[in-house]
Amino acid sequence: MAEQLTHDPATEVVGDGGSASGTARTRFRRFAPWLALGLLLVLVVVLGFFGRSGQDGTALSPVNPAPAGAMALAEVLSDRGVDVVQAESLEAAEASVTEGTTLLLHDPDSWLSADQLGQLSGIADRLVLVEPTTIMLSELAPTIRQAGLIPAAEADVALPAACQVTDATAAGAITAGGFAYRGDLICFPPTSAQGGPPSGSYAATAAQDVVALGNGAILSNESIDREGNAALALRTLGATPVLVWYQPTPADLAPTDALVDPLNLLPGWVNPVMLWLLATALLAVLWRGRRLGPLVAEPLPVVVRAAETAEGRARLYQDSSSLDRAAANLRAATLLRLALRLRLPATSSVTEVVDAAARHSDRSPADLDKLLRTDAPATDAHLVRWSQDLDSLEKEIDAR
Amino acid sequence: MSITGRFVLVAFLGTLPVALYPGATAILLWAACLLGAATLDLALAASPRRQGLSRSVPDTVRLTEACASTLTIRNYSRRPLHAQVREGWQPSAGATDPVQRVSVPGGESRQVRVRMVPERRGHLRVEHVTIRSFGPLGLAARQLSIPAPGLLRVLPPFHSKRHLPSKLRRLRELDGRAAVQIRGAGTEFDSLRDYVRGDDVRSIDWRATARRRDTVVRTWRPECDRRVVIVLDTSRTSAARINDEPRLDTSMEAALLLAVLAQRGGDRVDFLAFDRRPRARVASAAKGNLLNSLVKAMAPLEAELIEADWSRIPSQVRAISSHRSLVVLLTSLDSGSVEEGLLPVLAELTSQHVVVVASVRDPRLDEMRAERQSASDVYRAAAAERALLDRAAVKSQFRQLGTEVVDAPPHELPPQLADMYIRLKAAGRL
Repeated sequence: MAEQLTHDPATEVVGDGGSASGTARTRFRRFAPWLALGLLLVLVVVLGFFGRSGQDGTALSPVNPAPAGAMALAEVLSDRGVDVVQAESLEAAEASVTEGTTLLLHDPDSWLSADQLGQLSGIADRLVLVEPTTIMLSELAPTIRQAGLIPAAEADVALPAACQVTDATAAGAITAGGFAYRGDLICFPPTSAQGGPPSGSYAATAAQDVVALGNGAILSNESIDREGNAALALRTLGATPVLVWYQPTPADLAPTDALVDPLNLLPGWVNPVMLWLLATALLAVLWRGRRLGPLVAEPLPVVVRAAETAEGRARLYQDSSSLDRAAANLRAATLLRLALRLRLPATSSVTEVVDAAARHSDRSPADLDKLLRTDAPATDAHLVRWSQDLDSLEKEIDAR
Repeated sequence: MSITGRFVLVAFLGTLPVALYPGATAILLWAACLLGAATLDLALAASPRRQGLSRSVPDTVRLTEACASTLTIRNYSRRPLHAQVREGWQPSAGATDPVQRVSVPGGESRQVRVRMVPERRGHLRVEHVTIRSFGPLGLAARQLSIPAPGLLRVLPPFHSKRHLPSKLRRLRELDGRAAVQIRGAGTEFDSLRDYVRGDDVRSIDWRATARRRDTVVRTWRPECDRRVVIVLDTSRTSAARINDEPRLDTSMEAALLLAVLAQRGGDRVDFLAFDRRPRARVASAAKGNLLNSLVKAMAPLEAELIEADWSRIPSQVRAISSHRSLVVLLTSLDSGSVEEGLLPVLAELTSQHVVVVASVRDPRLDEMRAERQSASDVYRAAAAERALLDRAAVKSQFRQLGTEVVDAPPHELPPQLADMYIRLKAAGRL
């Protein structure tokens, strides 16, 4: 409702005594800690994201300092003058291979197809296959074949070299584990081998230009320092001035195998519209979230229900099963009311009340004496019956 | 500042150009348009800082009665103000429409009326007024909360007023005006009048009868100008709720009825609210309407969560009245606090004054007592019986000291206290 009115300057308030910039400053000061906190959070997330991209978590990666990585080996090799090149893709690996190069190939997930493996065949002076699969062997080293697992039970047992390959004899022994291979040269045979053709954790072609390492763990940071692992690894990988360290990734999948991203099937306008709708939703939040002025506090009164003490006492009676006390209360109250109703003095005894009640009801004095004087409930059920009886007696006498 | 629903709608409409011309350009362009329009709107909105606010609130209002507070907005800027105005009344003020839209042309003023039905007795406050001033496009608004304190005194409702006519009639019956005079209704000589059948023969004035041909009786009227001191206990026991009303409020009702009745009966009424120190005082000598000053004094009273200091009551009563008076204590009869606090003091009070202790009885206890269906019911009945027995014991102790006790459920307490007053007056005990 709005109407013209006369002006009364005496009680009038104009503005809040501040200015728009003042309000903005106050607001900023109030929200500055939260803003700082938010920025910090964003910073931590961003740093975490980009910080992690420097090192990868792949097993046996030359830049992974974790126990499963192989950074220690790579560092030692570079210290000894070997140029360790980490190849990110098949093309990079091919390009990095020059004269006097060892190529390390570790592809436990079999990302490379047989054709792609074929491209790597014979390009390097020395090819070291870490835990090669059957396809890899058939493409790159047909003379080496898989010969099963070296049981995990032997993990703590060192495998002696037991061959004439200089790298292996220099190492002496390596930790057991991984796969066993058969080939022209076999070293570190599993101790539990029972008959059959000989196999070993280390297999090489006769010319030693392809080496299969059955146990990748000997290169890892965790166990490089055990037994002769380091010696074998350094000698196998450090024989040439350049070491190309290639671990294929899903990006190396042959193009024909690439899955079609279903999102690419959507029309081009979907993403911008989604973005815009998100922004609109944010605006709607701002619209609905802005309060019309501060909250108003209500000084609330204390709420104490008067009967609360009685309720509390009742629960105490019940929890401690104070049958006698409850019965005494009920009896005393009934006697008091009966005395009042039967016009007896408040000081009259129980027997007087019983006698008077007997005269005013159809019950026998003996019954009433039992009810009002001697009966002592022993169970809850008895108490309930007895108290109901008291109640009905009162009503009976009231009705007369 | 804030944005409006229209702003969000316009932003939503931007989905169309973004869909038609997908890409960053459309998004940025539309966002820039929105931002520009909002900025323009904000710049053109009337400044809420240049609005003069004055509020007129009724001085007092009885609880359960409706009232309205009027806020006058005077626009000192040249731009017209289109705004949403919110009065920041505390919730119990029961403002039905605290948020209203108002348009004030530049240099003029308009009123905003907020209807209120207060839900609580006491001093209800409003601290600020919030103005959200919209721009001409209605896309964005400038918002400001301006401190503009106000106060509404909500008085006790005095529901027991309805008992007043009947009690006044009974009071008048004590007076000589009633046809049948009961001897002993007073000691103060009122007038002589003709004997009518039914009058007490002992009240015949034989000398006056001798002078005249008819039989003449004397009439008396009850004493006037006696003092009634009502002491309202505002200590912790008065906070307890009985029938969802604090004991304090019920006691106030009783005190108001008694005060009005006693005043009409020609007595002087003093009121004192006390716990450890006096919270409110209304003196009989004060000018103006007694009822009015009483309700104003009672309005801000709240139960304090402290134990009452009864030992100071006799000196307080003495300070009010040095003569024999009717002292009415409106308190509770909870055994623990009474035995330690009130009982020792009562002896001293009763030696000097006529003392009435009035207390609200909790009907819930009687309900609990009567219910005996299950084991927990019976235990509750036993606990209720114990509470009632304790109460009865306290009452009989009071009566032995010569104190009158009024113990009644909430709705009965005011009329029963009034009855007690009439009875004492009729018995000439004042």
